[in-house]
Amino acid sequence: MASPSALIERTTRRLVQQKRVNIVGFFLSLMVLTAVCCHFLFSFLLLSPVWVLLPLVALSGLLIHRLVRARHALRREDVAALLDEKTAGQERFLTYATLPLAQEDTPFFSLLQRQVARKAAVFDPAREIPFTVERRVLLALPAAVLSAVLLLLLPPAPVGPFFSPQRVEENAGVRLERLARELLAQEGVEAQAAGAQLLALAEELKNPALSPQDKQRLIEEVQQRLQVKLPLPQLLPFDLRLFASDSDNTQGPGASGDRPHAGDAPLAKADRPQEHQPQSPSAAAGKAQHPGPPQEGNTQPSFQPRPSGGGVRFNFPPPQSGTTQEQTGGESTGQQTSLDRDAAPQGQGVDPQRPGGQQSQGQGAERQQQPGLQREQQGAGTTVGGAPGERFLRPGERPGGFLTKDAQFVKIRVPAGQGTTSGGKPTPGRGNPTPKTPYSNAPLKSGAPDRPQPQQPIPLEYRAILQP
Amino acid sequence: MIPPEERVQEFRRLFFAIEEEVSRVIVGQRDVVRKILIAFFAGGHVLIEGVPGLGKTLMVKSISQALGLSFKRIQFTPDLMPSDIIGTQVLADGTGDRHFEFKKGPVFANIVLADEVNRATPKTQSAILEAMEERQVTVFGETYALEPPFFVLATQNPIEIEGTYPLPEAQLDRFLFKLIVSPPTAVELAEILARTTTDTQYQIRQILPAEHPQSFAEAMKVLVRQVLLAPPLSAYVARLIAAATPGNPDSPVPEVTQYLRYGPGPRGAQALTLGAKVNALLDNRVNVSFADLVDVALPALRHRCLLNFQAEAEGVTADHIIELVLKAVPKK
Repeated sequence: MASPSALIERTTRRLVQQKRVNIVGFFLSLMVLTAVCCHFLFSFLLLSPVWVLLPLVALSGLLIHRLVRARHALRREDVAALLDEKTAGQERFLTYATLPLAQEDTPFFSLLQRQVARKAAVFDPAREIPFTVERRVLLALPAAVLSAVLLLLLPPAPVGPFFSPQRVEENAGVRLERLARELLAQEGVEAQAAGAQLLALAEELKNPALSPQDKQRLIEEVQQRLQVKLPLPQLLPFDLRLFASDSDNTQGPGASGDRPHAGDAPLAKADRPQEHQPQSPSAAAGKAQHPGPPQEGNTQPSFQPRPSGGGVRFNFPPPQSGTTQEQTGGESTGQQTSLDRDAAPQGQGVDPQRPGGQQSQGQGAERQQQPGLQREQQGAGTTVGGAPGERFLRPGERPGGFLTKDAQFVKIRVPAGQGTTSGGKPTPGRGNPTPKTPYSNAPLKSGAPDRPQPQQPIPLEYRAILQP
Repeated sequence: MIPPEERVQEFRRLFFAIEEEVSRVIVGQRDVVRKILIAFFAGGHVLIEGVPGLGKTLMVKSISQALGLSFKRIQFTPDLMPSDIIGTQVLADGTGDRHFEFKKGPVFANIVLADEVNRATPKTQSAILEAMEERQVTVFGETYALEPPFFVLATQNPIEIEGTYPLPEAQLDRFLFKLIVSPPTAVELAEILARTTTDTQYQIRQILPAEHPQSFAEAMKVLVRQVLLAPPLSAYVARLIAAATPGNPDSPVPEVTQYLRYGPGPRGAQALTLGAKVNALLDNRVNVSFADLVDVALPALRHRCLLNFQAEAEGVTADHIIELVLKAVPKK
C-alpha cells in the first residue's frame, strides 16, 4: 500500500517542477521582450549595447530567485488539499498532512492513515496532475516571439534628434566601422571591396574639419559607389528633399524633387556638354577611362536625383569664377582622390556598365553649377521683375526650393517722408499727395478684381428698408 | 479492545437505526430529527422553535424511547416555580423520624422536554438553564448531580409574544442548536392523518442496548470527541466566528456590523466543531471536513447572532447573515 507521505512528496515534486517550468517560460519571454525593447531604446538613445545587458542580468537574478522560492512557496497543506480535491478525500489528506504530532498517537489517526493509504494507492500524480501552462506564459510567449520577429524585420532605429551632432557622428563612425568589419569578415570580392570602402569612409568621417553636410555627402557618395545597399547611418535628422516637387521647372540647386531611381541615367551633370563644366582632374580621368553612356540630347539644365538613401543636401553657392570653383573643385578633388585612392580601382570590381559604375564617373562633375544658373545666382538679391521669388534667392539657391515653391512674392513700397493720419488722409500742409494704401508691383492673377464690381441688387424684402 | 473501525461502524449503525425508528412515528422532519440526534451525541441541548401542533413533544418522546433513556416533560407556565423543575425538600414522616427529604424534580431525567420555556419567569428559566450548564442542581445548599446523559429540548412558540419572557441572550448561548420546525407539506399532512387518526399506533423500539443505555450513549459521545480536526479547519472555524462578530474591521461581510448586535462567541465555535464531528462519523470518516462544518453552521449560530432594530425593521434574519458569512469567508 502506498505511503501517503510518499505520495504527498511525489506530488509536491511534480508541482514544483511544473511551477519552475512555467517560471522559466515566463521569464525567458520577458527577457526576450526586454532585450528587444532595450535594443530599440538604447539605439535611439545612442547608448552602448552593454547597457542592454543590465536589465537582462536583473531579470536573470529574479528568475533564479523565483526558481529557488518555488519549492518553499508550495506548502504541504496545499498539496494535501489538491490531493483531497483529486481523490474526493474530504480533507483526509489535509488532516493527515497537517495533524500535530501529539495527535498521531490517537486510535483514530491510524484509521485515518489506512483510509488515506487506500486512496493514495490508486492515485498517480503523473496521470492525475497533467502539466498545465499558466496563463501568463501563454500571453508572454507569443509576445516574445512577435517582438523577436519585429527585431529582425524592422529597420534600424532612427537616431534620436535630441543629441548633439558630434555624438551622432561618433555613433555613425562606430556603426560604419562595425559594418565594415562585418563585410571584411565575409567571403567574396565585392564584400571585401565594400568593407574597405566603408573603412576608408569611417576614417574620413573622423576628420574634424569636415562639416556634417560634407560627411553626409561622403556617405551618400560611397553608398552610390557601392553595388549593394547597406544601412549606412544618417548624420542629419531629416531629409529636406521630401518637401520638393517633382516638376522639372522647379528643379535646380535647391530642388527637392529627388527620388532614388536605381535605373536612372547617370547624373545630369554628365549630360551637359563637357566644355562647359570645369571638372576635377580625377573626374576627368575617370571619364576618360570609363566614358559615360551615350547622351540622349537632354540639354535642359536639370538636377537629376541621386540614388542615395536620403539625407539633406545643402547646395552651397558655387565657387566664383576662378578662385572659388578651383577651391571647391580642389576640395572635392582632394576628397574624391583620397576616396579613390583608398577604394578599389575603378577597373577592379567596378562594372562601368552598371549604374553604380556610371555614377562614380560623374561624381566629380556633380559639384559644378550650370553656367546659366551661375549668372542668375550672381545677380540674386537685386533683380526686380524677374521670376517670382527669384530676387529673394540667396546665392546658390534655386527658385522653387523649400518654402518658396510656387510662392508669389509681393513687394510693398511704403511712402517715404510723408505722414498719414489714422484715417489715411494726408497730413495737411505737406507736399505732394501720397497714396493712402501701399501698392504692389507683383503681377496679379487673371481675373483679379481690379475694377469695381457691379452693385448687387437689393433683395425685395429689404428694398423698403434700405436705401441705396 | 474494539478497533476504531468497528466502533465507527457501530456508531453509524445505531445512529441511523434510531433515526429510522423515529421516522416511523414522525412524518417528515428528517433534518430536524437528525440535528436533534447530532446535538444529543455532541453533548449539547437543543432549542426548538415552531408553532403548536407540529409534533415537537412526540418527536422528543420518540427519540427518548428509541434511545431507551428516561424522559420527562415540563410545561412551562407563568406560575411555574423553580422548585417545580429542580425539586424541593419535603418533610418526610417515617417511623417516628421526621426529616426533610429531597424530592427530585422533573429535571432529573436523561431527556427533558421544556415546553414553551419562554412562558415561565426568568427565575424559573434560570433553574433549568443552570441544570443544563452545570449538570447538577443545588437545593437548600446541597448539590445533586444529574445522571448522564442529560439532554434538554426546550421549545418556543413564535406566535405568542405577550405574556412571555424571551430567553436572555446569555441563556440562549447555552443551547448547542436552535432548530426551526416548519409546518408539514400536504403529502406529509396526509400521512400524519393516516397514522394518527386510526386505532393503530406504532410503538418505538429501543435501539440502544437494553442494559445500561446511558453508558452506551456516553461511550458514543466520547467517540464523537475523538474525531480528528485538522488545524486548517480549526482556523476556518475561527475565521467564521470572527467574520460574524459585529465591529470587526476585518470582517468581509459589512452586513454583520450593520444588522447584528452580538455575534457568536467561543460557544458558537464549539457548537460548530462538535456538530461537524458527528457529521464526520456519520460519513464514515474520522476527520472533520469543510462540508461537515457548513452543514451545522445555521443551527449552531442562528440563535447566537442577535439582530438589532434595523434588521428587524428591514426583515433581515440571522440565517441570511450567516449565509453571507459562509459565502464570504474562504476555506483556505
